Amino acid sequence: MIDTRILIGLLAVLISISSVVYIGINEPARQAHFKATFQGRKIEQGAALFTEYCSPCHGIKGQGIEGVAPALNTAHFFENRLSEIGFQGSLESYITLTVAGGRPVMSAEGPWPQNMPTWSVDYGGPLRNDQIDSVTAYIMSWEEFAVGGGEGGPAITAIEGDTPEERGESLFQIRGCVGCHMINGQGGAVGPDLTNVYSKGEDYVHQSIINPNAVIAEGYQPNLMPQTFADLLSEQDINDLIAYLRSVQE
Amino acid sequence: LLHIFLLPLLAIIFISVHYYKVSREHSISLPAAIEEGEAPPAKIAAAKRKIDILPDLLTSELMWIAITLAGMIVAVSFFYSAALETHANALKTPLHTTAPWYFLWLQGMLKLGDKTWWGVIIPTIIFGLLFAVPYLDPGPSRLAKNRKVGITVGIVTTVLLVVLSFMGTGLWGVSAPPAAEIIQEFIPEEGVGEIREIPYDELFVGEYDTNDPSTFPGGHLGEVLAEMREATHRESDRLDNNFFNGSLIMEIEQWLPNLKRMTITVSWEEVPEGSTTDELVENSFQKSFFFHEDSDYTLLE
Repeated sequence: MIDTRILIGLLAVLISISSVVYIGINEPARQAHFKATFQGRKIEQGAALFTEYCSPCHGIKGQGIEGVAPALNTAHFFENRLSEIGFQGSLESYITLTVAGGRPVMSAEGPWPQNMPTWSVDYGGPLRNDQIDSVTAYIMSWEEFAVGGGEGGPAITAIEGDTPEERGESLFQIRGCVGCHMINGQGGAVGPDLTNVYSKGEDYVHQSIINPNAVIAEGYQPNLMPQTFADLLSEQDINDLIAYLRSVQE
Repeated sequence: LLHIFLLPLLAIIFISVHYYKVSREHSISLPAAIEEGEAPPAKIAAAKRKIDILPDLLTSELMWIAITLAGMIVAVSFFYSAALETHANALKTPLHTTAPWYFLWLQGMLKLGDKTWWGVIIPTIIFGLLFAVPYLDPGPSRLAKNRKVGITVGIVTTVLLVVLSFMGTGLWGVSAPPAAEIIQEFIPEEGVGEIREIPYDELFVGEYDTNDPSTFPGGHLGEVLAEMREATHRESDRLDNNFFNGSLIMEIEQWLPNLKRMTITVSWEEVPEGSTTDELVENSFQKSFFFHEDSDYTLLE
């Protein structure tokens, strides 16, 4: 007669072993599912980061902003960009590299006079490398939609608003001013805060838009701001922007 | 150096001395009632009988080891998921971040006042008193009736620690603005929350206003919206938080074919800072979230 304690112990060992075997058989499927969900959450994170940091220049859905930054959601970007510049790596590594390092010098040709800032903490930017990976994952997730007939080029979002102030606010967003300039705590810090810039006078603001290097605010570098707004903006646009800047001063 | 070498070394020395004393000098003790002769003689005799290590004790121990191990393996295999969350950001701590559970009592005390007093001096005094209890309440008997001081101190300390631990959580003594708290309640900055539990397919595109429950859709989303409506009422009914007539609007957009964006806008009326009249001013708080069709948040629970 075997001791019942031995029987119970053996039974417990059998339960342990069969649990481990069961988990082992299902592990590859579970990992695949988990990988997909992790990628999904990474894209969510990337979308939030893109909206916060990238959309002021590249457009809210990566459609680009004319005169500021190119579109990223086009079939052209996913299919031809690498061969165009002769990049040897994958598109993913190209995006990660560009986001991390930015464009330290002005692109030689093309309508993009503005330098892309550096984003990785490794090079003095604000984003950790896992955050940059998330942004890359988000941009890469556009591929399936872009190739199948995505928007064909930089699309200018329509200017919204009825009053000059409203149109000016809209222009401030879609022309990318907000990417570098802050108003009431909202916007980038590449250029000076414009909340109270109107107090320097209408002529000063006008001149600073069409000829940014005429006067450089203390503590900032010349040539950072695109010199092309005189061509890109109509006189009406500039007046609307000035009206907007007048309305926001404290 | 302190935590990796010095403290383990001290622990090894103290534990060795302790084990040596227990096993060689005092031997293992039986329950107080038996050792001090208050139990029926038959029970004392049964407790004091001797058994053989081989095979009796070993068989028993092996059985219990196997049972415990099986229980633990089944528990972690089928009832627990050690989920991988996103990287922590040291520069931006989520709302209501707390210490690990065993430090919550200390965090609760820190909320009471000066950091040096409540964080260092008073805990030291408490521990000093606890260490002193065996000397304040000496006596050889281990029966409960002879150990009233020790047992009382134990119960009081336990209750105190439970209360302080509760005070250490985000539920007590800290409050973000009500609008942020409402959003935090349903879609926390860390962890899952009720909104992320809603399946992607049930995040119906549309705009839902808690002022108008007829706009609520069915399913989980409708239930969560009803709860959010109650939360805005609850915060509005409190008089101490400068949050009146609160409501919120949840907008869900199809951002990309496999990605939805949810924007929650909480609106309320408040008495502006420094105002001397009862006039209320409208204010609002907005936050956006993205949801990908593959991100199964139920895995993270």
